Amino acid sequence: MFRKILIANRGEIAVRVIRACRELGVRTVVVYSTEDRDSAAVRMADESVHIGPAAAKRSYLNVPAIMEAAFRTGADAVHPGYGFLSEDADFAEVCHANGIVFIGPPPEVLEGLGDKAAARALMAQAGLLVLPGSQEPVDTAREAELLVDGIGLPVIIKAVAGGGGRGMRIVRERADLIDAFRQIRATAQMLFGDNRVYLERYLEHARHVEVQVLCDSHGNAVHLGERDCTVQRRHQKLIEEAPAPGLPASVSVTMCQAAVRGALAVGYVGAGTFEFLVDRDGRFYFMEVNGRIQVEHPVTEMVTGIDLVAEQLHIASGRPITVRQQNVRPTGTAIECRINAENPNRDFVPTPGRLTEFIPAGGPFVRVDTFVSAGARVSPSYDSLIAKLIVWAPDRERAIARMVRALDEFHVSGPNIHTTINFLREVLQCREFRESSHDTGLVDQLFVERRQLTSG
Amino acid sequence: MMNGFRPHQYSADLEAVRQSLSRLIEDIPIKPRAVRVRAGKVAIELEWDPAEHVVRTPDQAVAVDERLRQEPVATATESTAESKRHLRAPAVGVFYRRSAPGAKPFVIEGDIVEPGQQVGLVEAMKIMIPVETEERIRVVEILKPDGESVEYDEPLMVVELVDVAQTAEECQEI
Repeated sequence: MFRKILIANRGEIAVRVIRACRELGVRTVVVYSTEDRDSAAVRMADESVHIGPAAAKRSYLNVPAIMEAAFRTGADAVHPGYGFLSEDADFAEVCHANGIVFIGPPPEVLEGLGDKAAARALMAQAGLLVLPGSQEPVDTAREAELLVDGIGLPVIIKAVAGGGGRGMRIVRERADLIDAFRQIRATAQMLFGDNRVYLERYLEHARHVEVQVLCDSHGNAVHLGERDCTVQRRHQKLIEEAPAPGLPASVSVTMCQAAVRGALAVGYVGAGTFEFLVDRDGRFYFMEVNGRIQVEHPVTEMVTGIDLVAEQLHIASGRPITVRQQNVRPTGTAIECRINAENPNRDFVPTPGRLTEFIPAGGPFVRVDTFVSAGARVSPSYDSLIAKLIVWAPDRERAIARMVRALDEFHVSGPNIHTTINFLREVLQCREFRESSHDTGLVDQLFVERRQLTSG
Repeated sequence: MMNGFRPHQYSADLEAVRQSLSRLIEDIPIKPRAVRVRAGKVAIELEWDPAEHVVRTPDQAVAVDERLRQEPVATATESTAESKRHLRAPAVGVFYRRSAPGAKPFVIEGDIVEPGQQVGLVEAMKIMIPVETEERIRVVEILKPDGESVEYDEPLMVVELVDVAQTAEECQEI
């Protein structure tokens, strides 16, 4: 096991990694920006290094600064969390070249999977079903038109370098295609410095289901079951749960096996997630691989009893996975709600500011992963996630009741601060979610219904 | 304290400075904690312990101030806290005071530095990030030794703002 780990991240995930390290007896170093100098992670870590100003480009994305921090503290591994440099092949390479273990997949695997068009092709080769679409990035509007003639509408245009729900757009009318194509190329260039895009058929009324895998460097791979992340706004997840409700057991089994097959095919090492879209007939299509720990990993931890961050550390230190597939037995239902400082009534615009009140939920089978407390400031420089509320119950109905109860207990306020709490409660209580008949359009649909209610 | 002073280049200056300095020291009732000498455009800097300012009698304080006003050779730096500030590390890395081992330092204590002039560098992963000043300053104290590991925004030097008009006047007097 490692002696000292540097955490190249902030917020709740930095705290999550520190907790795992503490339990394993591993010392921790966090790097922080000026904005985060009073953060929970800085307080909890054994050491901390100030690496730059608020702007992520100069702090949490600043590779030389993070490497310097690793050298000066003598860290033997780096945990990148999620976002920031977590899937950056170059950063992983720099770590290796400097004798520091990158806790994540090998650089060449990240490189291969980071190109979403290439990942699709790799997984199709491994026998996974992919949605009809372009084999290669689409460079001209004419090519896009020809493709649409072949695969039909609607289509989704996605940035090859995209991620985190950014850099994608759905096209339902042929007349919109060329405009959308140009616009998403420009957006991709701006966001990722790479204007390449690809097209695939867009599935209406689909469920977003993903499979958690663990692979070690000895060729062992297991899956820890699936998570349903269908409740999204602007392609970003709001509620996640395990297991996927209403998914036939046979579909779940074949999907999980497909993910393991895909992981082995690309030489995956570490904790990873295979994302699929599932249509109403139970057909599932590969979308992408997330080569990192994910925000929603706690739901899998709650149903399997496996500490995913601890497993990441074991795998990165070269040990074989101790968990056997037959011993992975997901039990009950876990649900996670993302409590974001944003205003659902204004298209989820972030509402940074000072928290005058922060009272988290508690009680049996309730877990809160957060990094804020009353008096803390939600920074406009980073994402709006302030807490993850996770509950477990023996079945889905009781898990929903427990989550509603926990949301009732959760109080967050401050000047200018809005949160997703009330909206999350509304989703949990709506008929579609309770019956698990919802699809990725649920959030938009709720807003349409609201408008109809207020105008009628 | 004759940091970086090279007598073989400035022997004439040195002799002049040495004489002025010994005259000056003799005339001062409270001996300074530090004396800084610069040979280039000739600057002498005296520094007293802040504690001494507190304990000395008002008479002595007046005496010191008057002596200094009468003494045209010296530039006293009884700077107030407001005019002093820190030059801070632009990045996490290793702080260097010179461009290469064996080279002369970018600055030494007492130097007056023009806006945009380099006063040090921070090396992060073989990338050299210059430490520069945006204002006309005097280097009062260098806080980090050569080769010291520093964090982003860590104070490297105590400096004070130097008024352009004021220094021009001083140069004429010298």
